[in-house]
Amino acid sequence: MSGNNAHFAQFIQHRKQKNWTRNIGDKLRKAGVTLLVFVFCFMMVIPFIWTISSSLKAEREIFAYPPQFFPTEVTFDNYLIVMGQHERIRPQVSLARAYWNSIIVTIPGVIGPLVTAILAAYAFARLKFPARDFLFFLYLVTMIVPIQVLIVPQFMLANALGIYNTHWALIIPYLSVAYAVFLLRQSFMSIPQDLIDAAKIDGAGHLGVIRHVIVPASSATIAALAILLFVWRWNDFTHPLIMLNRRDLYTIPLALSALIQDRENARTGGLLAGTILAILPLFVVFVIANRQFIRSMVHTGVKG
Amino acid sequence: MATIRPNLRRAEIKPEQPKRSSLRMKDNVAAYLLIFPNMAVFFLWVLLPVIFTFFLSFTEWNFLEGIDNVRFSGVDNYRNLMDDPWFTDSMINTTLYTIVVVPVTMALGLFFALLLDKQVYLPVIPRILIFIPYITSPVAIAAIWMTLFSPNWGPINVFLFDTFGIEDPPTWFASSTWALPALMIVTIWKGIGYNALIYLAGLQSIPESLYEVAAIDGAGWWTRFKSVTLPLLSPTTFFLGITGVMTSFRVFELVAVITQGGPGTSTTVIAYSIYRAGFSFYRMGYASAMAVIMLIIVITFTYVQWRIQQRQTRFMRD
Amino acid sequence: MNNLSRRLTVMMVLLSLLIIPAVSAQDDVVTIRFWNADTSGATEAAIEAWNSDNPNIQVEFVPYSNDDSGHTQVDTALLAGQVDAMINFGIQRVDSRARAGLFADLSELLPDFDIVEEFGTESTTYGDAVYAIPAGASFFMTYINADAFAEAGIEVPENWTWEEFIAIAEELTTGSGPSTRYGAMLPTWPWMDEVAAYERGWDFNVNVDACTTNFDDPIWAEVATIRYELETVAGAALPYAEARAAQLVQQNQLYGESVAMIISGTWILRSTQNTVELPRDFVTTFAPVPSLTEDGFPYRSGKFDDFMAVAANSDHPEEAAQFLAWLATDGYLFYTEKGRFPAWQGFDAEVVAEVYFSGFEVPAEEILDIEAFIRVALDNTRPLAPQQELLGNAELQTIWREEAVRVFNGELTGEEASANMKERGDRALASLCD
Repeated sequence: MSGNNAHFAQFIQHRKQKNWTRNIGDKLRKAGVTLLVFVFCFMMVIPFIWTISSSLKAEREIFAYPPQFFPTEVTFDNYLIVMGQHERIRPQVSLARAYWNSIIVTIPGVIGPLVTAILAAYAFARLKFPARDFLFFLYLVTMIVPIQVLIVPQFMLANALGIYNTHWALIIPYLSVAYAVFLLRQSFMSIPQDLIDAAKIDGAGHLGVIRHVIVPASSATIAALAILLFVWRWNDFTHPLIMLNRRDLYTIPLALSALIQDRENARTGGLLAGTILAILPLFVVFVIANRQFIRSMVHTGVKG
Repeated sequence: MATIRPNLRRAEIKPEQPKRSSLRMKDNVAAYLLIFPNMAVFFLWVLLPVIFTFFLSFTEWNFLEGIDNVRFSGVDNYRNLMDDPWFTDSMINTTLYTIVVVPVTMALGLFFALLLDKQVYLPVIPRILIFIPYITSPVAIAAIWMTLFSPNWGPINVFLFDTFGIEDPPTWFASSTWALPALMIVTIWKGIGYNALIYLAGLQSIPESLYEVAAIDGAGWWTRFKSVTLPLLSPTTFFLGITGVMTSFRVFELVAVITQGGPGTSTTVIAYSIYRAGFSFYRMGYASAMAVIMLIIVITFTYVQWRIQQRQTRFMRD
Repeated sequence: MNNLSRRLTVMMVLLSLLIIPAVSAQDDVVTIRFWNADTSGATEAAIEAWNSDNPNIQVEFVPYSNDDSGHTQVDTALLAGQVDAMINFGIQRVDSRARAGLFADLSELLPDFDIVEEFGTESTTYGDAVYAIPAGASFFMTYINADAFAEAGIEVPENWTWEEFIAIAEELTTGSGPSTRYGAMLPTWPWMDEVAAYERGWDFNVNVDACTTNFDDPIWAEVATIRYELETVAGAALPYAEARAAQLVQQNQLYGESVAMIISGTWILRSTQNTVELPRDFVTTFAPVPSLTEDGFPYRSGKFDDFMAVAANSDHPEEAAQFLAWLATDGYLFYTEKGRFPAWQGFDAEVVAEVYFSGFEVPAEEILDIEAFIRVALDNTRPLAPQQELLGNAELQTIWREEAVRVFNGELTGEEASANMKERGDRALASLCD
């Protein structure tokens, strides 16, 4: 990708110049195309719009026939129910608690692997040591191992280490994310050796080089990786399912799946409200950082 | 385009020139210390479990009984797999799911990429819209689509009934015919945004001049698409193909939350079979044998794809 | 260089600190972690009563979900020693855990409490050991919207066969498309195997000695076909697969007047009491589960359901067992108030009924037919069938579910499904037997 960047910038420049000479007709056509593109992309999010609208409805209105897209009367009851704030209806899990838990595991789940991966990727990219390529090959192979293969041994390990059913069980395993090492190594290898040599002449050790040269030079990739890690940790379902058993430790996806099972108390409205609440933080992060995010997907995105 | 191909050669060109062996020793120690935190967790948490799973696949073991009660059973598990409908059906379902989901998602992703490549006002908004499904957790997606596809007059069936007058709409997740297609629809919907953005990046790296040359030759839109766009996108297509297959083979959450493999065995996929054999039937050895087969398939496929891509890239360079 | 090593060492020490297990403080007061999937509020009330009477044995309620992922969590928690006492729902859960040695022998922990005698069943006895207290039983019956029957001019029968039931359900079905009101709704799992059990006994489906199944017995085709005729041929009941996919809840369908009657277990009584969340303007009346023959079932239509057990690796097994012994007897009335029925033979039916009616928000006679309730729900003229032989139970249950569902929707005939079940079931057992 990087080789094309110069080309790409030139190409954008070229288009911009053409823009100046455009007349009204072109603008109208652009507006038409915009409308078309918006309509198509909007179709993709209709399920979300429907979910938001239904989560604001009273329970019996959700499946009313004939169907209504918008609620006749907006109610926030469903949100109160899943946040555990409703006076009568108490589902088995409260998303309020789950939010907190998700935050607790997500923040170290982003920072931890970033730190260890930066150190390891630096070594893999810029140092030569025995068995380097073999070790890196191991990382690559295990990147494609499906999680179901690992859950039982991982449960036994967590139990043996005494971290089973604690949030540590969701943090420690993720201190090593093979994909992060792979991605950062690619990025670190493209940093000119001159920069590193210059830092070394100034007396910097490896950590100094990492801090003053490597990290600043790869900040875009690191930021992108941080966002990806955030999404993966926030949405992780299988791991918490095996590692946690107490409701007060549940993360958002687990709490949501408990709500799906608890139809009697949560009901459809509560479930839909819970869904919206679960998506909300990611949505906010994505809107704020969408440039970084799209860049990261474009540059990388080996994992689904 | 990033690929999962390890670029080992480039690093080898500029190794740090060791002047004295003690310095090299020191550097080796430093390197090992740097990789240690990551490597330790990696060995403990990934490599060890993989090896253990491989070992378990030759045993009979109920994990409730503890590690002391592992009984060696040779290749029995692998032999039993071959005529177990849970395994064969789940292989068929997973393959079918992959064969449909991967190309359709890629085709629709390309369609949306072509749309997004157009000059529009506020280009960031359609990009955000199209990408939301991809960042949403599978559990939330399951919750939404279970409700939308509700056979008991959920929104989709009401729409089919009111708009097209379909009196007898499919019952989706309730029907052994429609459950797998419904899962495919959900997966495709989730994956379009990702495929579209990767394709978009590919499209934008195609030099405009190539299109201009083609236009001078009098090529129409379709010819230009066929002779310029598609060939130049082929690395992207290979990349999306690999990642798509790897993701499809692992599908688990949607099945675990929505259908639990049913009705009948119609949505029993391999990852779900493994989970159920281990945790519901308490046959961990058997589950491990399935896991090993799954692993071999995924690795073989990735390797073959990688080789094809390498040949293709070489071909294009020449 | 030294600098680097030092910093990395510090980092590794910090990392390793993360994995040192927390050490819990010891106290004179014993805490029992009690796992239960109950959502009625009864568990909290019972524990509050126990804790105030027993300051030295404090019980803590740990809720779990009674579904596949919930049970995986229970299993791993049991292995990790995070459970002291628990309630299992269904004998098969007890069986797999007891056989794996996860439960303590209650006959040792409670030498003065003869569980077999007090509860009248040996289903949790393994050799000399008793691994669970069968504290509660659930019974199946038909919950009926009396107004729907009156409007259709049908009298609520005291006994009926499936043939009669299907005919009545057909008459009660009104409307079409989205506004259909079905005559009936069966449980949201394949369930018809339980009908076979009321006829033949719960220990029917496995030939233990030969290590084969009885899935070729004609009764399996018969019961599966009944549901097919009711739901698919007559269109008189809300189809199984739809209820399942839409996650419909039986009580909401009955009290939302989307169906005229449901066949379900005694736990629905909690919703029958609940006129606040489920308002309605009809009286609920009751009839037995329709039988296969004119003579009715030889066994009572129900089974032991709440099995209380102590974890083998609990630090306080005696205290946990004491708590359970109370909860299974006097303490069980907290559950009865919410609609669950005790299996302890020390209660008499009238006390149970009285406690049950005391849980109502409005006078009981206004919302249910008390005479029919006592006649159907508390009928103990027939015995509960002996419990099933559990060899390969999870696999056999899954096979039955997969094949039965294909009969319900008309993909297979009962006979074809029965042949498939026999073949698959025997193979599953064969790999377990040797």
